[in-house]
Amino acid sequence: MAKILGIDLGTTNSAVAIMEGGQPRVLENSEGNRLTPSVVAVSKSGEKLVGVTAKRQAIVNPTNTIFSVKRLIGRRFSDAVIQHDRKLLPYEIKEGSNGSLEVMMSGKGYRPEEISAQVLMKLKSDAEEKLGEKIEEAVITCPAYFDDSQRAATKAAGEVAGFKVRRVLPEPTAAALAYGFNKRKNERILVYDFGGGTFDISILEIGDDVIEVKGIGGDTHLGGDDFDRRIMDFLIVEYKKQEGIDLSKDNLAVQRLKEAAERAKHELSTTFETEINLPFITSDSAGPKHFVMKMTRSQLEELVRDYIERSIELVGETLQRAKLTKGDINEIILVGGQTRMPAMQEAVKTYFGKEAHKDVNPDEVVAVGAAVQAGILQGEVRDVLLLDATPLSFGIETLGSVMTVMISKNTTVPTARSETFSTAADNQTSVEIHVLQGERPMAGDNKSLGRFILDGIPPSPRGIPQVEVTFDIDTNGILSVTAADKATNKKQSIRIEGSTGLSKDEIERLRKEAEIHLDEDKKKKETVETKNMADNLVYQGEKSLREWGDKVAAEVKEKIQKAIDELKSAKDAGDSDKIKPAMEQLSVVLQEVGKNMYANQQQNPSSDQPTPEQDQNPENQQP
Amino acid sequence: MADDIKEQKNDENDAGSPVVDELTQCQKLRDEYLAGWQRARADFINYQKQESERITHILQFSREDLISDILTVMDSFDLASANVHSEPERKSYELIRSQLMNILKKSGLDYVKAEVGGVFDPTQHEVVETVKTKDGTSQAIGEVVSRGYALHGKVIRAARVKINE
Repeated sequence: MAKILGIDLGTTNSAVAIMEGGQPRVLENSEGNRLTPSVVAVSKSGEKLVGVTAKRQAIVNPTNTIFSVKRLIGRRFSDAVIQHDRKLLPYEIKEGSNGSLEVMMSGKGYRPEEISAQVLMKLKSDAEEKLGEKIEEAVITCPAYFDDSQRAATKAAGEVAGFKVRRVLPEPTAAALAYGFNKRKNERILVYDFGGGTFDISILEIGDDVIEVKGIGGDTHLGGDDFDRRIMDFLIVEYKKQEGIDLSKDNLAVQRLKEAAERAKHELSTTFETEINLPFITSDSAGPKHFVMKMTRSQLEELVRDYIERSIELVGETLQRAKLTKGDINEIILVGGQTRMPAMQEAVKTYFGKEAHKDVNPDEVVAVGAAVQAGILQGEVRDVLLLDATPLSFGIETLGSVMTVMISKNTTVPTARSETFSTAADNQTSVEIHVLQGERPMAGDNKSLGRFILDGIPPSPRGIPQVEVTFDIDTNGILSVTAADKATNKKQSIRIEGSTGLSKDEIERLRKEAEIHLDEDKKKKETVETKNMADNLVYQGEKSLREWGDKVAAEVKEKIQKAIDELKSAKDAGDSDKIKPAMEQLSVVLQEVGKNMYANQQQNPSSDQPTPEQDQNPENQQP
Repeated sequence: MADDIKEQKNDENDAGSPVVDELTQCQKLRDEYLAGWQRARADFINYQKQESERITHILQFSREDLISDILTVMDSFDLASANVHSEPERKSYELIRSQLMNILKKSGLDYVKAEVGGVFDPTQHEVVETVKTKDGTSQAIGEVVSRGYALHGKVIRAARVKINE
């Protein structure tokens, strides 16, 4: 099944994503970056450049480097917007046939969609290289305010690039899809998209399986770049005040300042103060001059406050035009890198009185949403392949009535898991397997699904027999539990149907109970574990006395017996506070014996971590 | 012979029977499930391959941000050595710079090739200005303003150059 590419064809940068295993993934371009500048150029040597390479030569080749072509696509030459932008853009825009427009690059006229197609072609070939397969279809996004002719032109650009364009998707709709809001019902979502050069507001209404754009607003000439420019101007003015030198005439200094301004802006999103440190920024008769200045977050916020306030005003106006109030908005989504600025997030939060969604990378959320749309179109998640997950954990009861989890909750089925257990008493010839479901650590608090007995285990000391227990859940939620004695190959099993088929209420109840009893359960489990450890230590102590008693001095023997008796009584009383010191006492005396008797033996019975084969014993009731 | 004909007739009669329908249905389902299973297997194998590539990539580029930040320090060393007048002082700066670069080289950093008189290549270089020249070749690199760097072959900062007009 060929993949469909999700493309965010941006004014400044573009990004692509794809659905893979049901998850969207943003693809890197051939230069290893996740964003590709939407720039096309014909270099002075006549070579066609797209993306970052075109951007790198823009300064010296401004008339043949086309950027922001998205502002022109699908428009007529006579449009007021075009006449306005014509004056701002360094490349030539000419009238084409039938009132259309053309941009001039290296003496040749191109329609805007041809330029966009060049960007799309690069995105296509880079994605194909990355994925190692041909891609023929795409979902391309466009601003919500694009009219029919602009959408048609975007589609045409995709077709020129060799795509079958499955859909031209509004950017805010893509953002809503990235957050999975299409599954909601009767909600209104406001998308606050503050990009590098444009600010777009969209109000979406989610009905039955359709997302409708109910209102649009914003400012096509307001963006993060304005913030950078503000900071840079501030730095230049401050430097002039301090040193009396005007850096704005020095191209190289301006370039360094521009980067420093951008970096400072990014840093101040996470820190409260940053240092702008540019050594050797310029020089005068006295020698080299440096630029060192501290900038605080509040200084930055002060510098750009009017831009943020303006954006909030525009939100108000957009709501008003749509005949809505801020209370009508259920969710707010932040899109665009500039929305990482805490002051901007705060302004939105204060205005709406609720937190906006910003978990998906705001630079990539539109591409991710386009990929989600592509996934829906290509039917990535087909019903027949829909896999279930276990809502609760499955396990067995082990020594001390503890539930030992075999398959934990949220495991995708089908699945299987085996673990080896052993006996808890000497000469134990059978084990009972008690199958449980639930999240509580104590067996009795969970739901019992069934029990069976595996007998015929050859008599041997505890911890020696190896019983392999296997849990297997198939796609239909049927659980099979098998216990097999490795020595005799004797097997017993149980089949439990509908193990995942608990009602929602029941699952919720069991989960809630686990949450409520979390602390109390933890203590109970700890007590049992301590008791189990004590039991094991008593057993080791008695075994030592039985086997080696005659080789130990009567005095030591007596000491051990006393320690054993003390631990036993503490254990029977079930008091953890008494068990622990008694255990310590016994292990100390046992070690004393060990020093003399078993110098060559590595075993240290008191401090060994229990291993499944030795210590996690199934409940040892005899049949 | 007679028996054969009889059997054949029975087969024909079965064609529209519920059993045959069910079998056809089952075969269809089987094919669908088989295809789904194969796809899942293939997806998993591909995922494993991609995962190992991704891990290699993460190992190589996990320090990209840190290294990119350190490049400004490297630039400052370059500027410092260019701005001092005494040879021993210049030498000191260069030695410290070279120490730092050697450490970064171990993490996969290298210089991007940029030489005065060389051809401008937008995959490696970024133009910041044009310079008027009488003797230099047009469009060739006239001056390297700051060095470019590549991490494991990926240009993390293009060399900034001035080109001849």
